[in-house]
Amino acid sequence: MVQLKVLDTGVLLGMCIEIDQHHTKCIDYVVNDGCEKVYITPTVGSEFERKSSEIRQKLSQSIIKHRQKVVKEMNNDQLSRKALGYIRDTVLEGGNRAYRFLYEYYSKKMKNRVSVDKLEIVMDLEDMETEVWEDACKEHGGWKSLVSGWTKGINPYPDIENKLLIYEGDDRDVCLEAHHVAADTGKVTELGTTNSKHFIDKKSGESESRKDNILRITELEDVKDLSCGKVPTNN
Amino acid sequence: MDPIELLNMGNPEYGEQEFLCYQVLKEMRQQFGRDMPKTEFYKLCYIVNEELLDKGVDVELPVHWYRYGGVLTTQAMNAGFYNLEEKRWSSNRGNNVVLNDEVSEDDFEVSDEKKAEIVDIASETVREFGNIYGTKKKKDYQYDHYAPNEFVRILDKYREYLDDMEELDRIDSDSYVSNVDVSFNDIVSSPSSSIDNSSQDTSEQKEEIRGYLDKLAKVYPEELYEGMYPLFLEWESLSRQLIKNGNFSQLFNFTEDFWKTFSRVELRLKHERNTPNLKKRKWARKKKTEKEDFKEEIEKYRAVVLQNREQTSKLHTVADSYSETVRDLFEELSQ
Repeated sequence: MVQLKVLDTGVLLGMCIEIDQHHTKCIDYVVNDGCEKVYITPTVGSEFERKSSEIRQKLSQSIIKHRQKVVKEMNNDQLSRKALGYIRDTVLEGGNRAYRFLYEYYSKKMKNRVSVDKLEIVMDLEDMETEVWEDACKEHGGWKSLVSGWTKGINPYPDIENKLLIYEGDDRDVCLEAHHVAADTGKVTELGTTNSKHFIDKKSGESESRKDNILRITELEDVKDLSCGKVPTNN
Repeated sequence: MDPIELLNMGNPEYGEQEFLCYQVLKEMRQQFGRDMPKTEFYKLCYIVNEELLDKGVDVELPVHWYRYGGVLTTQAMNAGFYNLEEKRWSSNRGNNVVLNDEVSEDDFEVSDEKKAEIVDIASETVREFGNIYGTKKKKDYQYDHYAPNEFVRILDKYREYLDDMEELDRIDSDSYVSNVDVSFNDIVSSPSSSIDNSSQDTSEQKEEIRGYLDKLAKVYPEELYEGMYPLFLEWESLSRQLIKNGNFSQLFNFTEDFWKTFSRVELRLKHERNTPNLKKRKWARKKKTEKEDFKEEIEKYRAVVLQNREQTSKLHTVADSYSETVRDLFEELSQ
């Protein structure tokens, strides 16, 4: 019976920014099944603050720029289906980071409506650019109410560090910090991650799978795969 | 005669730039028997300088565009020919510019030809603007004639619009938000009359404000003001949310914060003349902290907006593709 859960950055992202089934998956992992505590360790905390801010900023600004372009280039107060198509296919730039979901937005509008007020489109875009900043856990009381920051410091584990296969970016530190939570508390602890490539899979040329490696060397009880069902790549 | 005075005889302390300003002060005294506040003085000198430049007369006056229009870069001048005296006008405090009586025309080194032109234009300008106390007419004149571009001009009109909105209109009791700085005035002023009566006005005001923001977005000079562009986008977006919530006094404060930052990061460096290099370097060094400070302001206003806005779920209609985009971006940032 799992007592403590430690989260990787991607799980926090799934909880706070994403809003699809993956979001539900991450929330369920954290909210249900009655474990004692869900921890965010220092590296994950700072990485999340940094990256979530940058992601929200990039996406929000992309929507804003597009919205301003719509107002600039579309003169009529009423937009026909053709006009919406023009926005989707010409005004909306391919390089715009919000391209994918804005394209879908316009396609849906075109499918359901014959004509629409320009103001409605502008207001929708305004809503979207603001919703990007919303905490997707709001209805659960906000993400900070669902997790606890690990504030008791982290010890170094040079022996474990040497034997760990995982090395990419901050991932090794995330792993070591999760191990520390397990070692320090002595409780049954598992790490939840969305990064199956680095934390779960077996990489070619390596002696065992990342997960087996972590479970063998650290005091973690399990590494839970919370990734989306993407087609696995061979690495 | 004092030996120092003897030494200084024939060694004028001031140049053409100072003479222009001196003449403005003198004319105001002579024509209207008054001194003027610093802000009015700066504006008149700026106008006189522009008029002279129009005639091909360049005294290399150090000037720059700032929050309320064109101003003197006083630290670049030898300002000993005037003193600043503290003054109170109703609830405001400021500084009056008072001619140093010990200074005379002989203390200024300026060719007769230029002197004549300066005296001419200074006299004319003071005559046109001197009878109206304060800076509004001069500011409007500056914006109409010398504003660097349409964006700057419209922002001034927008700020004026927000400022003119009655104090009562600005406080909508329903939209009072705790945890955010409001002025004492905001709190004690009585709320506007019943929501029903004022809602008509409010929606017109909202439409007017949206119109300004649309115009500003249309004419924003992206290349010229590249540095402030991302902050402009965020300010513009949050302003719209503030309007939606009827947070008019927040909107006013937010706009003033934005403009102050904009003036320091962009205006005074991009629209200046004859600024000493040391001064320019000082302004340039400050840009980073100014932007960072304003980013913090943005975070505060965003928190207010998120706390008080009506929940919407437009992104949920495209939840999958949006979330996928988020994940891809996360992966990109993790490389």
